[in-house]
Amino acid sequence: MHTRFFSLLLVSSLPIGGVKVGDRAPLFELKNVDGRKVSLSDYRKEKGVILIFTCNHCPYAKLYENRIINLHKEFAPKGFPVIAINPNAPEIVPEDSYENMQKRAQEKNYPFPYLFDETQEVARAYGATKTPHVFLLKREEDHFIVAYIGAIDDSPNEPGKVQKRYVAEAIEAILTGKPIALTETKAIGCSVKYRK
Amino acid sequence: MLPLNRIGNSKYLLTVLTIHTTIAQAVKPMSWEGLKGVLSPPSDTLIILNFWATWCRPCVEELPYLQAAYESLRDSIPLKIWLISLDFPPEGASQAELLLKRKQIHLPAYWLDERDPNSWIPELNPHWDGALPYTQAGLQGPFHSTFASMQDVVNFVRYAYKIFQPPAR
Repeated sequence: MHTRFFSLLLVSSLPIGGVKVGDRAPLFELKNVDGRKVSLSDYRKEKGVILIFTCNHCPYAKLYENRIINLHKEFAPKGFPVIAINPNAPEIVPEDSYENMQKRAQEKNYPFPYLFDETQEVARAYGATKTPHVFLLKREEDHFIVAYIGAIDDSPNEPGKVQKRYVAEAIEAILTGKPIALTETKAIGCSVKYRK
Repeated sequence: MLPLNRIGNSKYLLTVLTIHTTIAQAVKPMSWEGLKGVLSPPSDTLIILNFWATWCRPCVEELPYLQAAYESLRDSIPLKIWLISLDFPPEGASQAELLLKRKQIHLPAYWLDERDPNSWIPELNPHWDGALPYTQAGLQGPFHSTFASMQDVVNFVRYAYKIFQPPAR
């Protein structure tokens, strides 16, 4: 099934599938850098989750690293913690191996889980195409729905020049019961290194 | 880059060609409006845009494929392949230039002087979400993500040319 999906993806050249805004968020359980498993259902008491596909090696991911930490510090107390997932195949990018993830998480003292999507099934289920790639999930009773997909903000390389904090604004909208103004944005990023 | 097609005088052409070979890798900054302006008028030439960055490994890997495909097709298809660098400001253009020089890539190259991808990607192709590399034929043509070989590029260009309609004369 996966091989078939991927050959389709190569022919059409842009990924098909994955989730759309409004879809139910696929469940997952993945290994964290501390060796323990983390699953989306562990978060069923939160208001939502800021799910971010990111990695060690990508310059865009590096540019956003501190901003991801700050998002967690700002919004975890409000019920929207960050879960980071590395979707890259380490045999393609050795910098993104599990051991290197552990190092990075320790160096930067990540306050959130940094999970390894070893089989890449979670990235495929969500349709992650690049790092960083944000899927903001909102809890509705016993499940999560996708509320926003895209970029963290509008100024990747100059954090000082951010004018629109897309993820922060989407969360504020949810918290105040307003519709999210922008549910999808574009972001440049490193393509997810899927196995062929 | 240089308006070679507008030059009639062969002596002048020779001079320009000499300069062209030495400065071929110069990467010019270009805004999205500027790029649109250049691509909008009807043209007989199929212009392929390859969006890339020096920090993007698969992008750098496919540059030689793009150049080889251009060289093998240029006599049979009225074709240009432009490299559009998305390297970070402020040094983006010079980083791109250095890499192209080192890799001996001589395709015309620009550096997109834009900060927010949401200001231009939706207009170029709302289906592209920003993952690099990305290649598109003109402003409205077919598109492709990563090329695995020169033949891959050749197939894409042939396909794009098949559905490309030069303006009626």
